[in-house]
Amino acid sequence: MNQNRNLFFGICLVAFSSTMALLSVFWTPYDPLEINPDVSLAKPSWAHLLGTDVLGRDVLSNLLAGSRTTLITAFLVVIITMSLGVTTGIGAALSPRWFNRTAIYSIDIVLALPAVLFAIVLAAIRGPSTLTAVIAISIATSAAVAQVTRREVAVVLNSDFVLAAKACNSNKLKIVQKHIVPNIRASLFIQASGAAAIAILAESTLSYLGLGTTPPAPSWGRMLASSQQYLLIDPVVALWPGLAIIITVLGFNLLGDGVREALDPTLRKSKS
Amino acid sequence: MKFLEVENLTISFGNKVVVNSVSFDLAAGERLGVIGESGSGKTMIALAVIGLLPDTATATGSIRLAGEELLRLSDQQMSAYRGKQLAMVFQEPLTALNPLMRVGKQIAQPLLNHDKVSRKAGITRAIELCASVGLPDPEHIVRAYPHQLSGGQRQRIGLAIAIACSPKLLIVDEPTTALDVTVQKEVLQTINDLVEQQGSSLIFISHDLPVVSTMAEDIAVLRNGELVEHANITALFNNPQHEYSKKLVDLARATEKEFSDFTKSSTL
Amino acid sequence: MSDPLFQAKALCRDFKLNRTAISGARPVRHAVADLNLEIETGDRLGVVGESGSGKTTLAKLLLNLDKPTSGSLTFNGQLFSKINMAIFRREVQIIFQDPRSSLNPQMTVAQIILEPLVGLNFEQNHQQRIDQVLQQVELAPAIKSRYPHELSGGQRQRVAIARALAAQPSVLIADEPVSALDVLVREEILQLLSGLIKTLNLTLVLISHDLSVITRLCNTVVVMKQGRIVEAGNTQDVFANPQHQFTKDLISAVPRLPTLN
Repeated sequence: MNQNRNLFFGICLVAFSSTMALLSVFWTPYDPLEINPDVSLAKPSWAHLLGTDVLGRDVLSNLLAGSRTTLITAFLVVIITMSLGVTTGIGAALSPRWFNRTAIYSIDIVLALPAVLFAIVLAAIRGPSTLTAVIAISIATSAAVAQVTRREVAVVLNSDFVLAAKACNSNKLKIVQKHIVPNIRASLFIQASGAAAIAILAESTLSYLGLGTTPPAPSWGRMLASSQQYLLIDPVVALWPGLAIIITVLGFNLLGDGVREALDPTLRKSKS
Repeated sequence: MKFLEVENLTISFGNKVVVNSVSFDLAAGERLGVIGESGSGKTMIALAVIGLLPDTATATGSIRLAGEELLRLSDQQMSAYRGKQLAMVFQEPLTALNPLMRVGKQIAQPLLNHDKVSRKAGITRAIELCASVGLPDPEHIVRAYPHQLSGGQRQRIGLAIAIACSPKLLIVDEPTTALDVTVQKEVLQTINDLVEQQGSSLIFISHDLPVVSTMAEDIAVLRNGELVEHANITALFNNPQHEYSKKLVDLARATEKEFSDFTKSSTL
Repeated sequence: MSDPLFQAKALCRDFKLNRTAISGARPVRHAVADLNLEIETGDRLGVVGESGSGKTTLAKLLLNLDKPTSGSLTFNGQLFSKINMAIFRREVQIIFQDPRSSLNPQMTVAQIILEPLVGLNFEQNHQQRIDQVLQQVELAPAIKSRYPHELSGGQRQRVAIARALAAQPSVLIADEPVSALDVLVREEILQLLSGLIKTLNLTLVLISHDLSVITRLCNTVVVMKQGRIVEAGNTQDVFANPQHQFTKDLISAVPRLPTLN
């Protein structure tokens, strides 16, 4: 672990955000929703460690509570995206040529549409909410994951060791299990951490646009949105949610890299 | 003073030494064959001479070309030499060429850089060079992209690029390893003819002793970064000094004998 | 008279290439064209040819890892389409050219050799068999826990051979088994193969562009050019008295050592 700096810092940062989320379940300094116009846009002080926003809500409490939304979104998106994207990608690569082609074109079409479009359509159907954001982001991101996975699987399928496996009468399931997945594992971790990072940023964007988490539920994206109007008066208010987003996104990226390094035998020092 | 003087060249990557204090000379017009297996450091030496070592490598010692010390030169200073005084042909014809540029343009590049000719003159010269490396239909081939050509044709393009400015020293690194044996024969002949015509010095690097023996009179044997033997080809074959060279020579001889026994009543 | 081990009749394998023009049919590459071949049990057949001659395609067809476009292939008299693959694969195995890409970088040596034992339902104790076959290829048992990237080219190729021989096949197809190896290592592997073929009484199909490797290991040879067999026969006869121009070209292209006193 000492040699794997990515893993170490990745775990630290993600743990930091997770701790915030966990803590907020039990305690926050103030009720994040409590409005207190008297202390609107207060500077950081002992009473309010990170200050307050325009409605007098404690920034720190909102940050802590918002981390829950963010991490749950990231978690859900990663699970849905990776399950959908990877199975589609592997399935497409293993199927006969015509199905493969159809899959590629379909994925391309989905990819051409931005997540925001899905979100708008979904919001119109079922109303804006965190779940709306999760679904929209998942659909869009799984297309990208499917495309990359399909390509990577195709490369592995072409290799001599897969041919050797076929010569040993290994069936398709065995080949996927023993040969394909271990060799695309590194890519999958990176894609998963990328998906988490995209999810966090996308959720923030959608909440900002009013298509995701609705007020008054705390969300980093909405905190950024609402602080925008007051940037000239009190720029510091925008700093905290922005910083929180950056730290969490960075944490996931480093974590993905770190896990990949830890699992890949060719990157480990050889035992001789 | 010899044309190329390499003295105590040591190349390392961090703590790992890949070339250990190698010294050799090359006179103008002379041909040196460098024989070694993978990991022997032969390519690293070539890269050091031409100034293309990776950033992570450190090289100490001295490489003097016509008296000029090359190791201390900056990349910019070295690029004045590259293509003009000395040039290199790389092993893998497909990856050594820019896939997005027509081959004629790639051949003309050194001419444009060094001799400052016009683009049109560069292409004209490229057509001439294609003819001299034995490529068919030069006027059309200069407009081709690398992936449209065969392995042998690509290697000839690599040759054409290298000899464009008539360099005094030509380094070729395993130029025919990726080629079929009939194509190899032709490409080797082409290299031979060119080097003779231009009177340049040649460093021919390979792991294949029979191939090297047809191309150079002087042979340096490398093993694990050490120069274990440097001798004239006759001396090397009749009386190899080092254990390793002996093994190589014996093996080459045995393989050839076995093959000749099969073809001895050949009508060729 | 018993059936030959392998028999190919009018075997063709075409590959459709990407379109080069908007209209018209897609151009076709005839990787193997109208090939007729018989391999008897106990033969050590060399397949010589240059790149693009169809040698590797032929190997894949013989292993049923690729289906021919037309023509027939039989094994012991039975058509490939009718054979039980599990049994066929027990009998016929392959080693590839590039030891770097023929071993799964994510698997240990033990896992690599285990795969055919499991896939082909080898009856005896698997772990014992792994130890046994590693001994046959002259590798120390400690190598079982290593990964391919920790091994040298020669060691990797030995592992590939061990994998091929694990389930005790009777036919070994070797596609350029030593081309990617250094000269001295090449010699070791050739000696190993030579010994194993004799000890285990294997039928060998050796594909190579290197004529000296063929003369070393094979008693019969076919010369391929552009998907067709242009010359065939006893190795000694073919190389001593080549009939076809291409064969003559191949032989004369082999670099000769300088004749010295």
